[in-house]
Amino acid sequence: MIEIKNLSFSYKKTPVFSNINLSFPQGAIYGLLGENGVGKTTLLKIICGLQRPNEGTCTVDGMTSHDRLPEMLQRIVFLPDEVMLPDNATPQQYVSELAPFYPSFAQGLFLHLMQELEVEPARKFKEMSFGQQKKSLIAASLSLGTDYILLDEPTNGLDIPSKAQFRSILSKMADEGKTIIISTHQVKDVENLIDPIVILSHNAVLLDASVQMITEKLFFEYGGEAREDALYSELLPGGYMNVIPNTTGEESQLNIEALFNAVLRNKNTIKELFS
Amino acid sequence: MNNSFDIHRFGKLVLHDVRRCSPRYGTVGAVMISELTFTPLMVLSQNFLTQDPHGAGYRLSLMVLMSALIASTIPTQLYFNAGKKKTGIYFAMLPASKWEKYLSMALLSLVLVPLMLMVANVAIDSLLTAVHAPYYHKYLWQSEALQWIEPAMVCNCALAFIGPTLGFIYANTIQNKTCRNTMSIVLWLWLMGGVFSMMILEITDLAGIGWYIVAAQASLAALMGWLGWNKMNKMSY
Repeated sequence: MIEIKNLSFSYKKTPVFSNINLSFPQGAIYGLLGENGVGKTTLLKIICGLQRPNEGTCTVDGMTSHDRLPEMLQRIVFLPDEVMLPDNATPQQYVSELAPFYPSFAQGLFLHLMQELEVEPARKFKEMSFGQQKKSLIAASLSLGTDYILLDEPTNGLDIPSKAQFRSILSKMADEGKTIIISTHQVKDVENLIDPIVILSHNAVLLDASVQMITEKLFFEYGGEAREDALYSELLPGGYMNVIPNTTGEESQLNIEALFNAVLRNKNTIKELFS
Repeated sequence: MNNSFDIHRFGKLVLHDVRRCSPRYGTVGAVMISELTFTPLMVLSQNFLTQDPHGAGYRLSLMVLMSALIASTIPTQLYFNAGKKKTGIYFAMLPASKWEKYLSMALLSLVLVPLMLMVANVAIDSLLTAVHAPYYHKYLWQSEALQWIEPAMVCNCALAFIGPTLGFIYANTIQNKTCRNTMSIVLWLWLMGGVFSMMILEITDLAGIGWYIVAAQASLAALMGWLGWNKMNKMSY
């Protein structure tokens, strides 16, 4: 389990988080959403120990993340948005270099994922497109057998079929008890995949709730008129989509983009609703 | 499993680093070959100009100086990415302790590469002595120079290499380009000054102060080592 307690972090004089608390129990796919510059990538870096918090703690299975103990690093993999790859190496060589450090690395799974994502493991990185490089790294990261998988904008550069394959692969991983945290702007790519959803704002966590809890508290109404009591309304083909407080207990289909906008525009109301 | 140091994991890390650095071996190899060519060429041209074969002592000094100059650039060439914020994530996330990572860097830069370079230098020198006796005169181990080499001189030469090399490991982690370049220049001056000063001291009969210089260089080398380790330990990405 990943636990963040009373954590504050700033880049020199620019505060990013102020006294935030979060926990990520195992076996779910967490969606980490937020506007540009709110600290999504920074939070992922703090979790895997690449950044040291100014105050508070971040632990992974009880180990302080910034200590970057080998035991902790064996349990966590972080795939940043941009990675410097050895041009002349192949994905197979890349994982072969990493494999000795990860006791649960599965070569069979790596080859299977490469096949599913349609990338040749013996092709050099420099001969690949950005999307193919990204797919190779996804396959490599997922085959290391770590309990925690942290992905920063993983669908950037993936083509449409690959996005579907990516979702299906991650769903299987979560079923096996892995904890996956995805930071992304491309919410459509991970809709129906991420649950719970964490929305960050400057200095704070605006929302940390499961999809079930969100749809219990909020109602997503499609195809009607714009409503005055709506937390957020958006004109879509076929009518307005409204996000309103769920007073009837009726179920609705979550729209993450609408949720995100509703949360950003009604910070206090959302806080009260979910407290 | 010991979190600070585990010999089995450390072994895997050294092997990993040797493999991981392989894309840089082309550059490193080219620099080494230049050095291995340059040293005998310089000896041969000097001998040809003076028509007086230089002793093995001269060759040994030249070899040590050239090897130290070349080997000290290795950390910058091999671990350039490891100390950078954007590119060092791979290195930082590798499941080994911070201490093991630093030690592996130091082992490769201070021991493995210089040893390889010295062995290659001695092998080439021996080969040339075997085939070109008039100009190469004696094998290195037959040299009279070995008799006048003092412990303080060996220590100083070693420290004039160890200190700057540890300094280059630290310089890799400095983000500001101007600071990094300035520090590199200072380290080069130290390296050259350290090796040359021993020869000058020997000639000027001031060798008595050799151990004071050893102490000063050892302190500076320790400072460089501590700075590098401390930065690697606390580095954020």
